[in-house]
Amino acid sequence: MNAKNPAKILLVDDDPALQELISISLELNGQQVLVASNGSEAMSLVDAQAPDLIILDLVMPVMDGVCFIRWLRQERASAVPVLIMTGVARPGMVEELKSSGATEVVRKPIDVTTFLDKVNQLLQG
Amino acid sequence: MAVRVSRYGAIFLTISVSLGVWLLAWLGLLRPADGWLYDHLTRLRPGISAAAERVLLVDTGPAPWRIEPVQWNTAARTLQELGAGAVVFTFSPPLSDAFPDSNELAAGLLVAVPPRAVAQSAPPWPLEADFQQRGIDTAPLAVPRAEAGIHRSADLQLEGRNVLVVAASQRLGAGSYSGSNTSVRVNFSGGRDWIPVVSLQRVLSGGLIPELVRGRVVLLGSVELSGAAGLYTPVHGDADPVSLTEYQGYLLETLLNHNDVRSPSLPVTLLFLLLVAAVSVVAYQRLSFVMSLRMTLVLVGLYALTGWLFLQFAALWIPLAELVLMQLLLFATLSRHRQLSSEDALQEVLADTRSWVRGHMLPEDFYESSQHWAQIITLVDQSLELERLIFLERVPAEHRVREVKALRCDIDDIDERRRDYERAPYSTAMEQGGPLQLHNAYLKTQTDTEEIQYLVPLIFAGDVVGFWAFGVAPQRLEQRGQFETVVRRFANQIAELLYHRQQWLRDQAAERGALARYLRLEGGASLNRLVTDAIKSAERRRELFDAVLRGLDTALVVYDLFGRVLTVNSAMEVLVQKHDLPVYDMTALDLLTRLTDMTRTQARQVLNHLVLQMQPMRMPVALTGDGKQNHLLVVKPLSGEDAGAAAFDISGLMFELADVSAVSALCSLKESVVEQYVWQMRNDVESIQMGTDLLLSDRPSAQQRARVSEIVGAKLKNLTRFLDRVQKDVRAPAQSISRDGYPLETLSRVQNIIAELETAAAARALRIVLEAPNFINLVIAQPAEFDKLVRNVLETLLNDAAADTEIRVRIRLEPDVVTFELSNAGFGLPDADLQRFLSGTGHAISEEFRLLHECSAALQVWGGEFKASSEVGRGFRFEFSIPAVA
Repeated sequence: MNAKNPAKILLVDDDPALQELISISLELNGQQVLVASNGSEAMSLVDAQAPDLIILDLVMPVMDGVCFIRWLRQERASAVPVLIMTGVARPGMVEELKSSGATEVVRKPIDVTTFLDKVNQLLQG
Repeated sequence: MAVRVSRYGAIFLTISVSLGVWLLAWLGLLRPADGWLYDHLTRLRPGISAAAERVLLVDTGPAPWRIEPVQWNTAARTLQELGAGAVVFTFSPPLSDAFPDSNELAAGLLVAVPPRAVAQSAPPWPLEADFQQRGIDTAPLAVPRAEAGIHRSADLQLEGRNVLVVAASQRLGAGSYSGSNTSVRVNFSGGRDWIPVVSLQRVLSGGLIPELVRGRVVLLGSVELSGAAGLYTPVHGDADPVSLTEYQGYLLETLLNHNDVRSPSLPVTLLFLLLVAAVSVVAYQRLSFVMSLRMTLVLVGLYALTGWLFLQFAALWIPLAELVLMQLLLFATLSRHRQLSSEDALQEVLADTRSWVRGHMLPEDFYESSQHWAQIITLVDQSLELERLIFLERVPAEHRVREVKALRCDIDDIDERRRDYERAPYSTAMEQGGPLQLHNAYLKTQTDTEEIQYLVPLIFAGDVVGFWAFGVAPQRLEQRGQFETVVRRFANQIAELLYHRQQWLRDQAAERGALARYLRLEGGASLNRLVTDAIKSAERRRELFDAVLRGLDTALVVYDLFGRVLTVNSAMEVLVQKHDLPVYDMTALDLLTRLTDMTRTQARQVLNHLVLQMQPMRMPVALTGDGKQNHLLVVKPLSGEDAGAAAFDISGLMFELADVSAVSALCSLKESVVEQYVWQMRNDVESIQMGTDLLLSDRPSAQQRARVSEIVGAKLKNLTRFLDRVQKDVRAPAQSISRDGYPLETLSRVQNIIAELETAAAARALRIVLEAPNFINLVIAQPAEFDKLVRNVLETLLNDAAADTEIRVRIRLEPDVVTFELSNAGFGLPDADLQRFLSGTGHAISEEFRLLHECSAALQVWGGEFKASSEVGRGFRFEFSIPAVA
């Protein structure tokens, strides 16, 4: 990934405002952003675009983040890194999400700098 | 009657009774009784006594005047020669030259002369002067005094002179009587025929032995009465009175033996009575009534025995009549006093008890008051929305009913001929035992309203106490089963109130029937009635408290101070069965250990602390294995009404288990709402955070900045509104939650309901499969209604499902709405029928579809939709959606 081939990041979140803000942040960071509003839309984009990184929200209509990540890991056997950003905080949730296939879990709110650092880390592998 | 006794009542009683009896004796009012006792005790001789030794009687026969003087001379000389101490004629023998024939003989004679008052007219006997002239001593012969015809005493002086027997005793020299009494009580203890008697003929024929005569006073006179009037003595009754001569013999023996029967002086008698009374007054107070009676009888016997002993062996007559009378009076007085005191004390206790019981209960006339029945009838009317109603009670001893209370009608609306409760429709209603819809008009028809009339028998404790008639609009009977069920419930309550009213009226009538009470010998303040009243009042209170205890929702078990079960109420019985809690086999310590996670040592310390500090202990406990603490355990010591009761004044321990699952559910509800709100807020804060960071950076373009500013501004406004909403929802009271709805987390609720129905499903080899996202938005709904909807739908599916199939539950989260799909593989219904049932217009609507109809109506209030479909042979499918919280 470089300026000529920017990394493709799939952003899956049902909040339009957050979609826009994260997209701006990632574009300023030199990444290409694909946006899905729920897990079902994200499935199509994964198959079509093969993103390098998936930023995933948990609570979404139609298909939530947990169902999507299980599909990604079990049905597609994809190893693409997944960064989960969520406001949900339950005891043992981070471990549960990681065991479902999440690469990294961060709790909202997170500042842009930290967010972009996480993204860069995950893109670099 | 209150018994008031002075401080020195005992002394007063002792003195008054003793003095009173003594006065009676002094006035002579006790003489008849005293005499009777004396006579009877005199007759009871301890054995055969030896013959008298100092006196000898010579029976001269009934006509001594026919005896020649020479014979008197011969007899007198013979007796003197035999050594008689004195020869005494109890009459005046004729004097002549032949009698006495010498001065020596004359000097040894003593002759009775009549009193001077009588002598002047006493022919033809010689005058006293004649005897004195011949050198013969004379003395008057006194007839002994009689007391009620009994001659117990004799005077010793007559006309200032010693009587004959006194003079005779004085002739014996050293053995003579020298007392100064003017009368003596003759000692008859020797019994009848005690004085030896010989005939004059025997004396004249020389048939006497010297031993029989030597040293004796010989009295000559008529001993055998032979038809003449005799004297009655204590030992000589109606059958055989004695002659005056024989009486003189007893008197002479008494004088010569110095054993006249004496009695204590009056002052001594009084002192003795006082002493005995004082001891008795003390003794009676210490003994029960029965023992007092026994003591009285024993003492009376003792007095009699003592009196006899003293009389027979000491010639002393104690005041026996006085003693007996005094003893009986003391016994009667003190027994009566004790009875009155007991009645007073009991009445005081009963009055206190009745006052206390009444203070804690409804006043008795409450059941009869018009205000009370007005409230009841209004409540019933408002609850059932009736057209009109009337409560009727049976008139005692008649076959008619009368009005108790009516609303929008009265007894006149019932035809006179239809007030006989032994006929239809009353008899029909009683047979049915429940609400009877009347097809013939019972209450007179009102032309402006349409109504259906009912007659309901009011039955309490198996007895029909009255009837309740009402009219209701036809449209209220759309759900007839439910309506009649409610009517029955009301009827039971009204019947009990009517029963109490009739009881009270009966009691009042009994109080007013004073004449009847007196005729039954139950007049006045009967202690029995007071006790019965008090017990009845206490019993009513006990029944009331038992009913309260049974009706409590809180489970209760009461232990005594030793930790043993005293009582368990109905709610606790339910818990015992539901959670397998063998409370009857558990001590307080066992129960505390079982309900909490305390060790026995810790639990023992807690109970000790409770008892010593008199403070209750509260803690949440879990009865179910899932650890949900849905009950609040309160352990408190039970003490009396004295708020300052000390430790060990407690009478037991009470364990209360209050079901706080509703409170817990409310807390859980708010917790889940807050949790969801928090992650929503985090999302919004994320936008603000990110937006702010971008605005602070110089990298975004102007256009991007503008857009970011817009987004941040909108999020800030949204967040503010959201915070207001959070505040409102967290503060929402329970009533508004259940009435108006609340943000609900539905996933866990559905999961709980499925868990509750798992057992029923498994019993029919059914599986409930849930397919739901991990996170579901909140929806606005009433918690209880939502649960009811889900449960009813699942139960409908379970009831219809074919065995060994699945009930599928799917929850879908869509942008603005949460959708629930529930379906089964079962028998199904024609869809048209299903739609009709769900709309509430189908006939023979079953309970489950009626409930679903109600639930779907509630759903619409929340802004949701409810759809159902069915196909015969395939089953049912229900789908309902509820708007999500934005």
